[in-house]
Amino acid sequence: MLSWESKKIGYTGLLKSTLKLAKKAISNAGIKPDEIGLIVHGGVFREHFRTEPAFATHIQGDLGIHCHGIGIDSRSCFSFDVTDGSCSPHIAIQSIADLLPALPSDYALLCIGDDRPTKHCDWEYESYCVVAVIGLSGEGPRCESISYDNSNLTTNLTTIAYFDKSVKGNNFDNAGTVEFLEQQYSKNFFQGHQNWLSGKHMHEFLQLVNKHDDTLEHCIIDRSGKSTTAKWVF
Amino acid sequence: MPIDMLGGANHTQLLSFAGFLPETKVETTSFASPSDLPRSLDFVRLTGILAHREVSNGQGSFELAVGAAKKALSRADLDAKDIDLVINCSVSKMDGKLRQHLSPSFATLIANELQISGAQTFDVSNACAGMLTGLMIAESRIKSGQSKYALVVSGEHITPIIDEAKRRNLYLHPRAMASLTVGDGAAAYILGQSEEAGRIIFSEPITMAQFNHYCIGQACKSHLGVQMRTRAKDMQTAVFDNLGNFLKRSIDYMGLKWDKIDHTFSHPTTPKAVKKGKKIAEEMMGEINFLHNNSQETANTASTTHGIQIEISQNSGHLKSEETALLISYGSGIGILAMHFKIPKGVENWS
Repeated sequence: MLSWESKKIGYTGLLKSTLKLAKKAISNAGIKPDEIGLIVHGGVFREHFRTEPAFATHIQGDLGIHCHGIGIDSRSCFSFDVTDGSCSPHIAIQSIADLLPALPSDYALLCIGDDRPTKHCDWEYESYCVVAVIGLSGEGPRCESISYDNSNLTTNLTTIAYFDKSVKGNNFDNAGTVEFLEQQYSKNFFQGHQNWLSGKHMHEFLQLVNKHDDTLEHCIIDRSGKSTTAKWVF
Repeated sequence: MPIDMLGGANHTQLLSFAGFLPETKVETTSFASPSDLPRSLDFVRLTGILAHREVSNGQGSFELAVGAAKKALSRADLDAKDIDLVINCSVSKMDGKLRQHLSPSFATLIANELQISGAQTFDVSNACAGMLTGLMIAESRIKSGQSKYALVVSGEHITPIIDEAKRRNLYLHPRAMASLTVGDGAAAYILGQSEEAGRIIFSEPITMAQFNHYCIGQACKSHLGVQMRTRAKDMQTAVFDNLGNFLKRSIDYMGLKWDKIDHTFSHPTTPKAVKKGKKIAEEMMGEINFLHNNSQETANTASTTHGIQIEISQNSGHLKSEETALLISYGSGIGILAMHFKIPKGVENWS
């Protein structure tokens, strides 16, 4: 991870914030936007519960990264989204690690965050926007491995979007009741609160990065009970 | 289960694929006859779509995806416990009551239903190009030794956008017209390790994000269900203007010879569009050996189109073991990528 930016955002405006932070992160990484060959966004909630196109394509388009026709030798960028509840950041990092080595570019943009989908949604979450430039080489925290654990998964703890006839608008519902696990922090381990969204998990993790000079395990436990742990080496 | 970010160098193969269609067949003329449409459009002549399939009561994206996954697992002769990676690529994730699933990943629920325990599960979202994006990630995982057997699956319950389009005044909302070209369906692929290199190869994936506003799918703002708004003609032009160069550079990138590709499948927005694409491809690359254009009775099933098309071709006896196939995929965004693979052994005997 060559550079990163994160900040708390309002109910909406994830795209605007992402673009602002992306420009900063790209500049801080000492590269040009056109050197980005892969953009992966991770999150759950999008404005109006949008399903297509991928949010990452809006980021690419508004940053103007390789927004041109396909030539025989032209350079290009590829964009898509991944999601797995609050564990989405780790899935996004892993997807970048999977694909970037096979692409002609050495740099990817990791974007994490959620928008309050509609004004009808009761939004108890704090929304954060996180952007990081990931490189195949260079200085910065290195993600050595990502592990997953589904043993505490409860499959009926789902989140569903639905049309609320009483207000004639779209809302979402978290099924079931969860006794949320609190955040934990020790010398080489950080686990966020179970009710945080993806953006806050990554934001809080990034606040700790500069305080470490060896390793830090970052665990995200989703509302459903499934979890992922990324091992970072500094 | 730890996953090292730097793995070994294995090879990958497609072990099976499956297309799965709901039983209810709906004729295009039953909802898009000339009298229903602006300027008395002959929609069947315009698109080449004769019919599509729709879910029955109690069915949604989930049930369709599970149906396809079971079929693919059976054809690969694998137990659910062998699968260590499940990627879902559905655009819709919608149940019979038109509720959209958000979290945890749809793949998690599909794996649970199939009793696949211990697998990593997540969703990929890249519109109609989502399935090939998911396959590319799975292939990379297997190649690097992080996974042995991967299930890449998608179920699309998207026909509610037809109802939404019909409810709208199509004279005032011509961008809803493309919503009449869709159908429900599902597809699944099983990937595994191989000792032979080159059984699956991907093109360089490209997103032409300057066109990212040409097709937008989201929840209806004031009604139950979903809507899609498409600048269909602009989108088709954007793809066709770039198709020739994409194919030329992709075939070079993948180290293939165009005339050695036995079967070609494009993303069938409509059968008519596939015919137009054929002309462009042949002008740039030469004659196509066998272009499968068989979506006349299934329509555009979003991320699952290729799986359904190759299922129809398999059912028709057109596919033979070890022949080669090229899937060309594009979707809203506009993401475009291709996958070349050897057809799994024993495909002639699949039921």
